[in-house]
This record gives sequence, structure tokens and C-alpha cells, in this order.
Amino acid sequence: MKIMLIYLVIMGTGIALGYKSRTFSSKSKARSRFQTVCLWIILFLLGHQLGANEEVAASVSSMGLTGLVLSLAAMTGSFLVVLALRKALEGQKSARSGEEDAR
Amino acid sequence: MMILILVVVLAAGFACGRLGALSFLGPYESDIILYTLYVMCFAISISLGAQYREGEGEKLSGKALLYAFGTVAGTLLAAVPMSLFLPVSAKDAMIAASGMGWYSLSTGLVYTYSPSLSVATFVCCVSREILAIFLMPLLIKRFRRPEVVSVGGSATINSCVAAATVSGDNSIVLYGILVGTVISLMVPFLIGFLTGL
Repeated sequence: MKIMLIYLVIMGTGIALGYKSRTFSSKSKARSRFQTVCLWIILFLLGHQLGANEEVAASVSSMGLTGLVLSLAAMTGSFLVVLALRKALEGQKSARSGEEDAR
Repeated sequence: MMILILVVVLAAGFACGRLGALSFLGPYESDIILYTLYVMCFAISISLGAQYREGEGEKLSGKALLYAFGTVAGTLLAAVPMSLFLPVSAKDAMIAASGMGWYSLSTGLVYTYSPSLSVATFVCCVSREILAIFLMPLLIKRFRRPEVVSVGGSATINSCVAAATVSGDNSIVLYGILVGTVISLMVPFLIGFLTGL
């Protein structure tokens, strides 16, 4: 809960700052490079932590397979739910226009 | 190419950890990761704010918002039954899947909950992004934008560009950025909520 609040404050402040101040451009190359370096730091340190942890190192293959299966399931689930949602919304819309035509 | 570099960076870190190199970083690593994530989130949100000020932010329709929620719901619903076949609980399966393709943020967030689950989260996110790049151009030939974009989760920009190149419909890129942004905003809260259960 605390982490959620921290992220909410950080993102809210950032969006407000980016929106209000003309100093910031959405296409800033410097910020893009900075984000890339941050990402490298995070991933390197995560890899380092994972490698140094015997329990994790032993479970890399099984957890890797778990991640792959979950990603396939997640993609299929999202696709089917959104497809059903779209069809339901379109069904409502065509039913409404059908009623109007009948009148 | 970018994904390949990231995988190499992660593998280099993993190799250093296995070999015991840079072990002096150990006590500070979690804090450095957390604060770097905060800084990254801040930089990303400044970019989002600037995009709207410059008039380049897509307008959010009610339907697009509904499809974004549908994408998250579909991901979580599909993750639960997978726990029957995988060595993780239903809750952990949902946590790993709830990265929605945003590996840089979700892997770090999940690490504080379970280091081994963060491996599954990383693979889940990276494979979702890579598979989406190949699947979306195929799906766009038969299906409409909402369900095609949902495949990528939050990581829709690369895959939408690929889909736009194949279909010639460039509007899918802006639409994908919009839905992807909404989903991205949900990721830290979703992981925070699920790990706190």
C-alpha cells in the first residue's frame, strides 16, 4: 500500500510537472538516454542479486518456463476478454440502431 | 536489438553474482534498485505530461479505458488456472503476469516480494513483448484494433509499429500508446496490491 502511494505521488508530480513546465519536451533525447542507463543499472543489479542467491539460481530454469507459459496464457486471456468486450459493445450499438430504424 | 542488450545486461549481472564479483554492492543493491525505479517513473511521467501539453497525447475514450481494464482482467483471469500446471500458487501466477510486459519496473517490484518469482516475471514480460511483435502483425489481418493491441499489454509500442507496418493502419500506433499507457499506470498499483494480499 505504501509503495502504491509513493508511485502515485511520483507519477502524479511528474505528469503535472511535464504538463505545466515548458522546460520539458516529450521527445528529450537526454531523458531517453538517462532512462536507458537507469534500466541497465536496474537489470544489472537484479541479475547480480539473482546470481548471488543460490535458491534463485537453482530455480532459474523452472521459473523461466513458468514465465513463458504465463505470458502465453496472459496474451490469450487478454485477447479473448477484449474480443468479447468489443463484440458485446458492438452488439449493443447495432441493437440500438436497429430499434431506431424500426421506429 | 534493445531487448537483446537488456537480456545481455541481465545475464552479465547474473554471471557476476554467480562468480562472486562486485559482492560489496550486496547490502545496497535493493535500495539502489528501488530509488532508480522511482527516478525512472518520475522521468517517464514527465514525458507523459509533456506529451499532453504538446497536444500529442491521445484522447482517452470510455471504450479505450474499458479495453485497458479488459486487458488486465484477461491477463489475471488466464494466469489463475495456469497455477494448476505450474510450480506457483494462483496469487504468484497473477503477480508474475501482472507485469503486463513492463519488465523494467515489475521485475524490481516483484523482487522485494520473492526473488525467484521475479525471474518468472522478467521472462513473462520479455516474452510477452517479443511474442507480441510477431503475433500482432498476423492478428491485425483478421481482427480489430482493441483485441490486437491487448495482446501486447503495456509493451505495445514496438509491436504496434510492426502491426502498422504490415497493415498500413498507422492509427494503431497512437491507439496502442494510449491503451498501453493506461495499462502501464496500473502496473505498480496492481503489483503492490497483489503482493500485499
